[in-house]
Amino acid sequence: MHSRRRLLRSVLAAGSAALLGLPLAYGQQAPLSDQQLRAAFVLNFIRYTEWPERAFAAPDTPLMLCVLGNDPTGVALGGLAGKTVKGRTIQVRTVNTADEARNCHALFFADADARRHVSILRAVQTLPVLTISDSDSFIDIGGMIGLLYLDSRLQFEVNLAVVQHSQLKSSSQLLRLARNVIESKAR
Amino acid sequence: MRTCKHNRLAAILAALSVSLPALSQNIEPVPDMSLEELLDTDVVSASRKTQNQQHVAAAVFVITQEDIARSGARDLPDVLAMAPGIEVARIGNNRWAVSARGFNGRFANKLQVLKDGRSIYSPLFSGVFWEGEDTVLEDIERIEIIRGPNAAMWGSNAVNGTINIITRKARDTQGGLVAVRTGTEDKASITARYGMALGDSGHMRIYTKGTERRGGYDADGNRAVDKSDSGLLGFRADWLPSSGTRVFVNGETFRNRNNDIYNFADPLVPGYINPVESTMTLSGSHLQGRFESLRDDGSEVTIQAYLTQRLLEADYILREERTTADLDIQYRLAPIGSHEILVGANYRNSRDTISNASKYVSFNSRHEDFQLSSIFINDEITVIPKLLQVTLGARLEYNNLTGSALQPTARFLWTPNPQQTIWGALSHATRTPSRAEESASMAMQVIPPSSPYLPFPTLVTFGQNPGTKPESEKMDAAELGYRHRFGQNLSLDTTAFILRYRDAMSVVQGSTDLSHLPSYIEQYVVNLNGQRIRIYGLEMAMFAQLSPSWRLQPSYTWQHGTASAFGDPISEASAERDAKNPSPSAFLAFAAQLRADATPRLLAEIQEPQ
Repeated sequence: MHSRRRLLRSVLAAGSAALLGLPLAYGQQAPLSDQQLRAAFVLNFIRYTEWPERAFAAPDTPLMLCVLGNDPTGVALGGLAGKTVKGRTIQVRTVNTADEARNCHALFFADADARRHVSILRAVQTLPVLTISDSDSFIDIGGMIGLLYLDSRLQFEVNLAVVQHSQLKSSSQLLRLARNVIESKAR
Repeated sequence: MRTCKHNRLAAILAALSVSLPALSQNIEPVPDMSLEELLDTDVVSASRKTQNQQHVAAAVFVITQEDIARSGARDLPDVLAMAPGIEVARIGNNRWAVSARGFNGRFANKLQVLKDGRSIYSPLFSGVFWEGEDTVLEDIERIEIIRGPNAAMWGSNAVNGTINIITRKARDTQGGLVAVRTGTEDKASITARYGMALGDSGHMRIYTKGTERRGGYDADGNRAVDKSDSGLLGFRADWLPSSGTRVFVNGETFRNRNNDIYNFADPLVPGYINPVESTMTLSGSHLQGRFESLRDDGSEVTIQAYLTQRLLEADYILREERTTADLDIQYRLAPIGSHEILVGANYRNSRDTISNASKYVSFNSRHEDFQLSSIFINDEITVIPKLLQVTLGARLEYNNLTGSALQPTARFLWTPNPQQTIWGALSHATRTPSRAEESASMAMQVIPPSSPYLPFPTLVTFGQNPGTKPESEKMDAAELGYRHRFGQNLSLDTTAFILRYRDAMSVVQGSTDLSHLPSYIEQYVVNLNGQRIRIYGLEMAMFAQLSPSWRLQPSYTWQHGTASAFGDPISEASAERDAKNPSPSAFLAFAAQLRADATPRLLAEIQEPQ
């Protein structure tokens, strides 16, 4: 009886130590957050995409990354401002309309409004704008790169038909690492 | 007792406030990692979940694939038990009772349950035979649980809640998977799945699962007879013929056998209870297809059809054969100003043949052809962009048993800032009587002889009132909810509700049959619509991701109910039971789930990436 009570007491002590201790340990080690990783993926998507010459006015024209919507991933993309890719500095800007989206090099959809996504994707489909989102089934509706969360990891899939239609080029390494590559006749 | 629980809640809240500063959010630096490194990093993701839940004017909870994998759950009821406000009770080792906001029981009948848009509740008792719904849990993408009525959107039976089980797209389950599980209860459970590409734009998976479960233990520690075994074989295929167009086809065949002892009331046996050991076999198959097309102007068409066939054979009790065909069409109009309008139509035909196999349970009609058709409209109105949204919806339904019913709802969603959401809803929903309620007879209990002047036992039999037909139960609900998200890792969700049921099903004293004398008296009780039930409740849930491997999800539900009676002794007793079913004592359950990846289970998995 006594030993059982002692066991209970030590279990409780261990439990409360864990409850208080773990969050502190979390603060110290600061592992990468979900959003930091999503932003790092976006940086790589830009790195592995080739834009046609005409997409930039000059060799040192900044690369415009636009964010539509303001979910946490969209907020985290602010951390990409100032990074350089192939000699170009990344600028991050918030956009709200299809017209604003036409001037972007990369466009991230940071909300889950699929119907609005469709109309904006349609507006930029022939332009060299790399479209990315982590919203559900993004490549099904004509988006280029969809970020997925599957089996405790972030992964991505590419709708290559849409990429090719826009005169962008995805590197073979990007396609090799994608979970799925859709090559249908889809626009 | 109550104060003690409040203290515990306070203690947990205090413990959490200590860790709050660590959870505050600002723009973090983006790590410079290669794609290979990123793909190799394990991450705990909660954002998608809270994101979507934040913008719904209803009490919703989402269970993700990750939650399921971490829980060690073995079957759907195990998984559903994770959701706050959902009551899951295990009756035997192979049978469950699942409900929301009260009225729980083996034949809980006020929930709509959908698997990929296919309704799985049995019209026999308007509930789900959970034992016949064995599922490859690894293939579930998420389960959306909506507490409260939303018949306008989900149809009849969505009175106390809707459970929406959504499986992963075939392209997300490519390659092979074998999962083997064994334990003290599950003798063995084996799942195998293989996913492959179908041409350029399609994917498919084939899956099978077999489970053999031992019986539980009785009060004396002996192995009970409630063992079960089940097997299923199915496929899912998805195509993407062009951007925005999706085609989905799914089919499955299954069989479940479970064994148990049913105690039937019998005035002719000693002790008045005749225990019958019966094996119930549920088997069936379904084929389902869906076509979705999202057009460039933002309009969307969805057409879905399915056919299911089911056979229930309970030895010595009854045999039911059922075929159901369902067609559903939805059209979402391109936004018109601030209106987003969704319209739809549904037709369902469910035919059954029931043969009686015992003197304890019988049905007064052998065949029934149940037809249900409905149309609905739902208008989401943005009153003030990003601040106030109002939804008006209604479903007009007609069925050949109880006629027509209009089920409207009005909701608002107010988001003063991205962290806070306040929502409210007024809804009216109906529940169609089940096949059993409108045509079954069943021996319920035997009352022993009560006095020397009346030396006969009385058999109480649930039966049908000749000349009257049961009507639909009606429910009106008012709900008010508040959600607050503190950064990415902590959120609070509170809902208060008042539910008012009218014409609720109750039993009253019927005729007395003296023809069995001198053996026993048979007293009938019959269904009567007319009970009024009122339930008040408060649901609170918290989600705290304290660290990638440490999550706390306490929830607390309080409910109080009152029910009217007719002044008849049987209806008094039944009213008391219905009001007590959602009593505070039953729901003052404070569940703090300390979930770590330490759930003892053995899961061997061989996964080969495509």
